[in-house]
Amino acid sequence: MNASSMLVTAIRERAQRLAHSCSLFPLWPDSLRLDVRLRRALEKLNAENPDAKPLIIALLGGTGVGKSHLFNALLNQPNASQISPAIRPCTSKPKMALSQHDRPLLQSYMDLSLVDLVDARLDGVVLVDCPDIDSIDQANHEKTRQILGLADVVVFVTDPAKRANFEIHAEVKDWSERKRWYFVMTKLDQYPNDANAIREDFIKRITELGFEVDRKTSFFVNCLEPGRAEFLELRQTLLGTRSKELRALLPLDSFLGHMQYALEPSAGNYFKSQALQLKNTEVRLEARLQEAYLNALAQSDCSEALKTLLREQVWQQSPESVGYLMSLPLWLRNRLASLGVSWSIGQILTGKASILGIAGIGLSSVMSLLRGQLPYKKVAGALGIEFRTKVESIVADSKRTLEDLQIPYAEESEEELAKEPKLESKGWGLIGLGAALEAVARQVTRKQPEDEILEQLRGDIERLGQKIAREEFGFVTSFITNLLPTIAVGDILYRTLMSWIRHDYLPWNFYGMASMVFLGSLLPGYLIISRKIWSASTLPDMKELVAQVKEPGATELIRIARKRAENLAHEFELLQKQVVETRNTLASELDSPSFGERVKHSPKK
Amino acid sequence: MQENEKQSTLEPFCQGVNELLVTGEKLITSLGGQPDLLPGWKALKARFSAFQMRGKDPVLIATLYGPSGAGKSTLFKLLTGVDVPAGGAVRPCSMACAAAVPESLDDPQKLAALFPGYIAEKLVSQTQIRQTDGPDQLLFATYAEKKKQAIQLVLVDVPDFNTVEKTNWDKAEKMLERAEVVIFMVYDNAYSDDKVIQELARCCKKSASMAYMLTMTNAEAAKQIWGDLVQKVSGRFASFQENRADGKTLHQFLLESPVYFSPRSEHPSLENVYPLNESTPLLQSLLQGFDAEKIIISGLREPALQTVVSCTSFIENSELGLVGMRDRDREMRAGLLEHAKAVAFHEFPAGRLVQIVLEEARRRRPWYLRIITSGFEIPGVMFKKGQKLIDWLRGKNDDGPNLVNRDDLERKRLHEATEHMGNQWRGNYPDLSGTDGVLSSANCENARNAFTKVKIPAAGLDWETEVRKDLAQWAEENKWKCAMLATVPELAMTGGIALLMVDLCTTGGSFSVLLTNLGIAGTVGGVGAAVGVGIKFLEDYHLNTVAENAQNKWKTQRTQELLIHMDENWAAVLLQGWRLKLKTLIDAPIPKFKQICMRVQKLLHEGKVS
Ligand SMILES: Nc1nc2c(ncn2[C@@H]2O[C@H](COP(=O)(O)OP(=O)(O)O)[C@@H](O)[C@H]2O)c(=O)[nH]1
Ligand SMILES: Nc1nc2c(ncn2[C@@H]2O[C@H](COP(=O)(O)OP(=O)(O)O)[C@@H](O)[C@H]2O)c(=O)[nH]1
Ligand SMILES: [Mg+2]
Ligand SMILES: [Mg+2]
Repeated sequence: MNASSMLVTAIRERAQRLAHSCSLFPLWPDSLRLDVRLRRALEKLNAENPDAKPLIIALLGGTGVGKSHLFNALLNQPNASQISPAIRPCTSKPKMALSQHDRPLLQSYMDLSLVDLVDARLDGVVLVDCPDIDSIDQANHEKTRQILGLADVVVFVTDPAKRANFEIHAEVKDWSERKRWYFVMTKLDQYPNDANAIREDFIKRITELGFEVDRKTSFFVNCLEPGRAEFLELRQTLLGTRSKELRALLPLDSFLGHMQYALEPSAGNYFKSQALQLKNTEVRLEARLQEAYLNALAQSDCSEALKTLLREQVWQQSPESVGYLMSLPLWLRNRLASLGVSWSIGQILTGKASILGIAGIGLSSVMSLLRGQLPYKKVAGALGIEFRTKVESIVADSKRTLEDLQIPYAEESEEELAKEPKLESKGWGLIGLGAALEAVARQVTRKQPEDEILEQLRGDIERLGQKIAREEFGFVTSFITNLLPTIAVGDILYRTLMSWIRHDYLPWNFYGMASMVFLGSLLPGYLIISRKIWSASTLPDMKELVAQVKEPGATELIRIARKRAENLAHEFELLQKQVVETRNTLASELDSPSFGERVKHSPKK
Repeated sequence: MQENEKQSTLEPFCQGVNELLVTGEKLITSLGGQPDLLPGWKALKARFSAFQMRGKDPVLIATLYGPSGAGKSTLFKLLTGVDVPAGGAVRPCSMACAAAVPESLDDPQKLAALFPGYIAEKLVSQTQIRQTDGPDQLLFATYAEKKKQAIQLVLVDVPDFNTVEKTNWDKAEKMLERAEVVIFMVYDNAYSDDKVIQELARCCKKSASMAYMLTMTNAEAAKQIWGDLVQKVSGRFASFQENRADGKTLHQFLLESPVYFSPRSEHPSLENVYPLNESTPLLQSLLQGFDAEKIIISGLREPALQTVVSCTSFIENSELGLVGMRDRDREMRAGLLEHAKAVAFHEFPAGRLVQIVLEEARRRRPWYLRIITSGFEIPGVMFKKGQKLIDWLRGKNDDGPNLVNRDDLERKRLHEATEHMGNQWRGNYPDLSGTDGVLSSANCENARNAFTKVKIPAAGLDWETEVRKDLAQWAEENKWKCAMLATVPELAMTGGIALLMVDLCTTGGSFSVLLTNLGIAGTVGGVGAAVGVGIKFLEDYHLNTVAENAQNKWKTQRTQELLIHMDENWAAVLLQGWRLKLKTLIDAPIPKFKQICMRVQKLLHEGKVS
């Protein structure tokens, strides 16, 4: 694997990534076009075999500028391509001059019925006289474009009269990045007085197209007098032999050219502006959501319930955070507690208890124990109709914004679904039965998908709980709370072991005592943790709580789209930079006299 | 005498065109169109305005028109002696319009009248033409008339329409709108260029008279080229088959136009400009021999016809659009009604009905019963918990027992209804959605905000009055039952509570929370049970008809109230721009304008405009 193929691999990978990013925005014309062009460039790269293919040079220009004359004169075959003194356009099928040797090589690469073949003594070069691109014969333009697609090098032929023609320039602009170029002006002999001024004016126009022309790639010839020095020089440059090694670099350069063509700056700007628009909407909707949270949480019912939930959440997190021996009593407590929590929240929220109500709460508590769920539904109820409406509006607005911006979205976010299995497996590895129950419960609950808002609130509270747990139960807490039980266990184990070694068996009641001591040693730690949880999980300040809510579910759709758009814009920029840099490096190898000029600045289209 | 006659045939036409332009400008703009973009409009406006300002001697305007390098400026120099930049050194070399005017018109004021929309400026140096001030600039110079000419001819040289300097295209096209006579110039290699042929069609359509001139070519090649061109545009191009106001097709018009050619030469001269046909007069005599009056009128006719045609099709499109918009309006209003109904139907205040029944019954109970029961409250632990309910039913307690606020719920229902409609409309009318559409996300949000700010109107009392009337009759027919109900209001409890339950459940009261807690899917089952008890109660007291009527009255009344509320406070905000457009379309004087168009068209067809 040599350096250049490694480069190609790197760019190819990046291009594939970008193409994938594009396919997430299939309704944007810019992204669709980019996608198609990137894929085409990749296909072309895969299809081309540099060793097997002769260099294809095509003549491009308006009707009547003298392409066919030039073709004939270059080949020294006056009748190779038909010409007419008056009727335009004259050439309607491309003429392809090539040697017998190259014919089979080309056959595998293109459909030769597209062209009329002309036998010529050429070496590794194929010269094509194309129909025009500016007459009323639209079919001619199509044929020419087909040839241009296959060509490696394009000779832009023009005459003084058509040198500033809009249509022709537009065509050159369109192909400029994808090809390497020579520039030929004919018929200057018709303007003996203005020749120099016309030359200058022509060079100016070419420069406007984004090229930096030099004397070795631009030619002023009289096709009617092919014996002159400048004509011979042109023939030598175009049809002379080229180094094989360098020619092998050409497909890479062409690939980069196609990349450059695909990466229109306007598309990059469009992606950036769309990403920005999404970002603005996201910020606005998030502000709205925060306000809704604040208003809803300001109700006392709600903050009471939330406090309980949050505390419970910290409890739930505690076994993991504290770890070691302490996790055992904490886990036990959690399994037993969910019944109570459910109960107390139910009481807070339903207000006056009734027989039916109590029965309902009891039942739901049992259900939630089975499901291992905390009764968020009740909290949502307490948040109030207004809150629910506001959140629904935010979700609706993000959907509508995406529709307006022509961004498809999944009704149910895939990312959330993908997260689900991970949550299941977390933390329950210890207890097989618990995990099994959990799994069954989840199967049951999945059939009745929970309210979106609850899902979201659950996430928010969970995150906050995790955060508090992480902050509160650092190494120190873990150490302190585990110290006593560890000593106790150590002591018990030591004694037991020693007694075994000495065959001085301890009395049976030792084990009972030891268990009691062990349980007792857990107690201080448990109390410390319990105290910590009670003091730490005060809902600090509603504003703060709301500010903690990062990446809320209500704005998820728009956030996903924003991230994708930002990613698209970013990938676009990276690839663009890399392509330009690589092409510049390559340029020092592929010298312009043998392989033509390369466009320096992408022209505005 | 003859002059008078001419005047009289032109009078109705001029009047028609005037009305067409004045009414059309206003109408088309109000309908969101741009009159200047309608084919023919600009030309008609420019030529007609010049025509109305004309003095005694008619002035004919002839323009050169063609691709870059055709030799326009060179010919202009030869014909007028005015020195403008020409030649091959820089391309394009003309960047502004240059007019050569007879000495009598050497006056910016007169020229301003002659070239509406231009700012006339004296041409003093060639650099003025190389660098231009803008599309409205007209550089002029006088040309020496060799002898007293028959007509006053203004010859204009314009920039080209085919180079990379796109601003030049507009300048050339703008002059084409004004000039009556066009000399279309093209060099040999450009005659079949796509853009050149398109522009040729445009000239054939717009000009009153045209000459086709091939430069840089000899007689034989010129003949070949002309033959090829005529053949090329004969069949293949639909645009050349269109009709002019004088009845010819563009193709015919082209065939009848005089054709000239001039061979390539280092020193071009007028002597080297030859007619292709022997019968064609020399270019100079062609230009001098025009019947100016006739050509000027013909120059009005062509764009007039185009304008009439394009205006008519614009108006027809607008009318079609109006039909579509009316359909949509109907659909949207039907949607509003449907949603208002749906909300109102779910909102029947059954509890309130029980309250009214009890009130009415109590009001009617006989005096002796009143004495017996006065101050009498049925005690009992059983009812203690229901005490609040009873109080509420009796109208003593406004809060009601742990009751969800009806308004909140109605608000939520209305919110859901509007959101649903918004989405439905966005789906049905994609052209109104999108970032800039009236149904855009931002606009929907806007309307929602406005809607939430407005208080929902309280239900009117009409239905209650009706219910009370019904109850009067019921009390008449069921004296005993009425008395019963009044005496032992707790009897109503069973049924009353059931109805209240219906109320609470539909309004999402605490009962429905309980039901959800119990895992009963939805509230339908619960409501069903409650309704069962309720119906039993109503039947027992022969109150079903009363209740049924009450419900119907409520539905009709509330539907109307909610419809107006949603329409005025939500739909009107959301659809503001669109409804305004609909209103302008409805109010626009379209029939009158169509009549004007028809009148002008008739005059043109009858050949009365001459
Ligand atoms: N004076 C002059 N005439 C030329 C030159 N090259 C071509 N021509 C003329 O240009 C015309 C068009 O040539 P042709 O090759 O058919 O143009 P194509 O349409 O581009 O293929 C012919 O009449 C040629 O005689 C040149 O270098 N000098
Ligand atoms: N009008 C005309 N110009 C010719 C002819 N033969 C050569 N030319 C040259 O063609 C060029 C035409 O340029 P110009 O008048 O500026 O063309 P424009 O762009 O149409 O205004 C000048 O250099 C003329 O000298 C001819 O037969 N007629
Ligand atoms: Mg040719
Ligand atoms: Mg000019």
